[in-house]
Amino acid sequence: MTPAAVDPTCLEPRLSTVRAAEGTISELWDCLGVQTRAATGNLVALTERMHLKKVEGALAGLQGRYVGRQIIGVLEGSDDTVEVQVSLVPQEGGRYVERLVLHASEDQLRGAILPLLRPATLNYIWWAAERRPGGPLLTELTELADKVICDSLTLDIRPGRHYALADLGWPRLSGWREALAQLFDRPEGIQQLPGLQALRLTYAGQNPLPAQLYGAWVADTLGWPDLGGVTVESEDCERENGDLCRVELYGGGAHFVLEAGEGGVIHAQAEWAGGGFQSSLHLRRLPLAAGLAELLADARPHTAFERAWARVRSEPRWTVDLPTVR
Amino acid sequence: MSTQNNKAQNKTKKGAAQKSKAQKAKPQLAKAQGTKAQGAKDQGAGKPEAAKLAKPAVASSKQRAAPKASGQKEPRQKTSDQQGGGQQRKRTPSSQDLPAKEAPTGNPFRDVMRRQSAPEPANLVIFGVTGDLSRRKLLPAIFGLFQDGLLSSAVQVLGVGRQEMSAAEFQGFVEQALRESSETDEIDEASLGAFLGTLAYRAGDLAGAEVYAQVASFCEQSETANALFYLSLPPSLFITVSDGLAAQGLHQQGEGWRRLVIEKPFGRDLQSARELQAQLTRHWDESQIYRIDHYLGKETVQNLLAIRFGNAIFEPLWNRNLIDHVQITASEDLGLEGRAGYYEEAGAVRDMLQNHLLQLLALTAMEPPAPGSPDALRDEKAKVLQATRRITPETVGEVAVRGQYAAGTLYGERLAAYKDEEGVAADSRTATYVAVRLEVDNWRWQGVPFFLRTGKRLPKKVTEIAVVFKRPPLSIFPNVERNVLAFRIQPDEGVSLKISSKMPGQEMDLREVVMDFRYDAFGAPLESPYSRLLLDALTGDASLFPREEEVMESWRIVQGLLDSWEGHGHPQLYTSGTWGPDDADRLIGEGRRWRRL
Repeated sequence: MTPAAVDPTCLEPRLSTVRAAEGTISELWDCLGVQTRAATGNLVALTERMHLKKVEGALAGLQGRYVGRQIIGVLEGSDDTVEVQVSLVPQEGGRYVERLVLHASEDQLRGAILPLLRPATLNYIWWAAERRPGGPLLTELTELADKVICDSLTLDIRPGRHYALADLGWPRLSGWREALAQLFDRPEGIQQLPGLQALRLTYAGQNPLPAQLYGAWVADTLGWPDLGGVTVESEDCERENGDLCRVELYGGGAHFVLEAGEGGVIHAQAEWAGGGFQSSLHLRRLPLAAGLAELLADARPHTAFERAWARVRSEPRWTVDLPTVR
Repeated sequence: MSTQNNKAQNKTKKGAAQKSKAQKAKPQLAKAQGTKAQGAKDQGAGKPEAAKLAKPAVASSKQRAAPKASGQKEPRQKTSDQQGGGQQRKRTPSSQDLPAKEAPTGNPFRDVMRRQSAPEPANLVIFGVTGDLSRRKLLPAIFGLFQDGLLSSAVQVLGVGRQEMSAAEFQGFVEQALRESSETDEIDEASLGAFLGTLAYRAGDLAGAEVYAQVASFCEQSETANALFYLSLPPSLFITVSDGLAAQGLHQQGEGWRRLVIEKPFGRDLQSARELQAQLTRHWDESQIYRIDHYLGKETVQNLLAIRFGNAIFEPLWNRNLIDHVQITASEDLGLEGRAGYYEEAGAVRDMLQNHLLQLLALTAMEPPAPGSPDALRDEKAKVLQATRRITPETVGEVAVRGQYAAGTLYGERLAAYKDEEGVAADSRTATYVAVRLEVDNWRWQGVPFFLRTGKRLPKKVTEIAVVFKRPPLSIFPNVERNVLAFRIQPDEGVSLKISSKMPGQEMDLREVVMDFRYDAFGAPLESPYSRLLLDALTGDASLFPREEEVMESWRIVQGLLDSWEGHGHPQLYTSGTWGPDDADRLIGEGRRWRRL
């Protein structure tokens, strides 16, 4: 498959045009002597120049997983002819990922990205930009998307008919979801569920959105009619901005507590009349690339996330003023 | 920007949180209501009124009592066992300990998790923890589960071995094993430290009673009575350990579940397998016995099910009407690798054919399992094995070939003959290669031969299932080849479909081309089969563990080979580095050939 010695010039990015980009990619593959290629999906990352390095770092962290073609659209306002930087990025195990980087205005990108998508495969759109999407670019892309990844609670991209909505805040909470689930894997824990009435969450820093999503997930899972029993507070707990510090679920004489400890450990404690237990769980590190990988691993809508998202959006205490993208 | 963490800008101030380590180690339950509520508190959410909230949906009126085996004792209420670290721990009842009062129907949080169950608190006791399998496979698998947050501290690992070691020495041993094994995930040092801190070790002679008393004492002091006993041991010790555990009452499920994981081979023939089963079931119920076949834990073996039953296009093709034959190959380039003692006894039939290859056959030939039934997969596999025509001494000559490797070369190196390997008898009859032709007597497969082959010192390490289709009934082109759908289990895991296509040019010439899907297109590293199977055993999911009748049927199929070959005749010699004895080509017959892999 991959020749033992790779000509380094085959790995150098080449400038091309949108029309000629496919041909350039083929030339690079031929240069490497690689015949087997897997069309596992397109990932379109839309970002700004200031975040480009971070986006590229996250894509590199995917190690070639899930998408064979990465298209990075850098939103910057030029209406000149769009140039495409084409390269094959080597991955572990002798694989390569096709990467195309374009710098253009939103209008230009719309016309440039669509022809570059490999057909008949999964399309992921990652809105990795601070600017709020407004123009036709995202509308066009969501028409083709299987999954749209964005900061869903601030950008107000709604779940669509064709695509699943995803938020990087969701996989970030997966360890805490698992920890809570483990409390109720125990039969005697399940018995306390009917009495639970309130949830108090604390988070680090200034970003309450992941905690809000978590609270809404718990409330939805327990069938609470609204989020009135959910309290979200900031706390100094030596964790990164937005990370959960503590989860406290209680009521009916029962208390279930999860608390972030040192070294990525979650301490769990449960107490109720006549019983209880303690345990601890290792909290898996989840850097940006790992969170992105988790979202790319499954293109289907995550109904638990979408229900939690809808609850957060409809909670008057947590509403922020957002422009809407259809 | 939608990103995960922004450490530089947003990390909270370390100095602000002046919690002591002691405080950190134990969540403070008294801190029920917050101090800095944002918005919610002033609306009363910090102290919710019960009337505002509905009962959780899980508190259904139709509630079930937990299952309880007949004859089980009432749960023991033990609340203050001393545990490592000086922490007072309370015994946690298992699902079998539930009182008869009404209970919710399940864990609602699990319904929305990718993994639908996680291990209950349990003691994971590994007999033979210092052995090769444990060092290379088991310990890395357990550590991987721990590091991924799938094993909580409530799963206590106890290693049992013959070698005297202190707790610190055992931790050093495990650390070295993890760092040396190629199966270990990338190590997070903090996780490793935490993992090592959870380990315990007991030494003793497995033939004596003392070591089992120590294990019983460990389980007694644990917060849970649940226990999984993993016998990473030679088969000759299975009964010894089973009896030793039973003498301490460690097979009894009065207070929690107890499971026994047994490595292959399960017996050395049909009779001994029956005897082993009888010996084990003096103490253990069949539902407590988990016979591990690590092939079934391989992701690519499970992908065979995914491809077969997740794609509607294959079902209409999957029968005698369109399939000519099936080839299942498990070839190894290695020789004995120091395991002459074991292999001289086992040979290729016991080592590979009776278990791994017949399991692959069953997965290939079985009917779709009923959804939602935990036993459905095993039911369907058992039916295939029951329908597989057994090899008899009368048919051995027609349907089976045995071989033994002679000297040769491979990878440019000279290799010794099997008989010249250390520990092998000079007149050894052990087969290092076996190929068989099997038929499954049911409507779907009537008349379709399944060719299975396995051997050592073959040109490469490959495991593959190839479904070879019939030629078109009437071809308008010359030299049309058969289509082949091949599932590569290892290496280069994936699926390929061989079809014929027109060559460019003026002539209508056809040529075979291969459409190839490689599993590594997903990029994600494949999970260790042992971690999958361990997790299944801990959660009580036995679907990937062969059941008694599967094992017995497999022995029944190959018993004729053993009867005919052991003590009679000699295997045909084949040169190391070739694809086996010439008779294998005769076996596959006219108009067919073994896949060139």
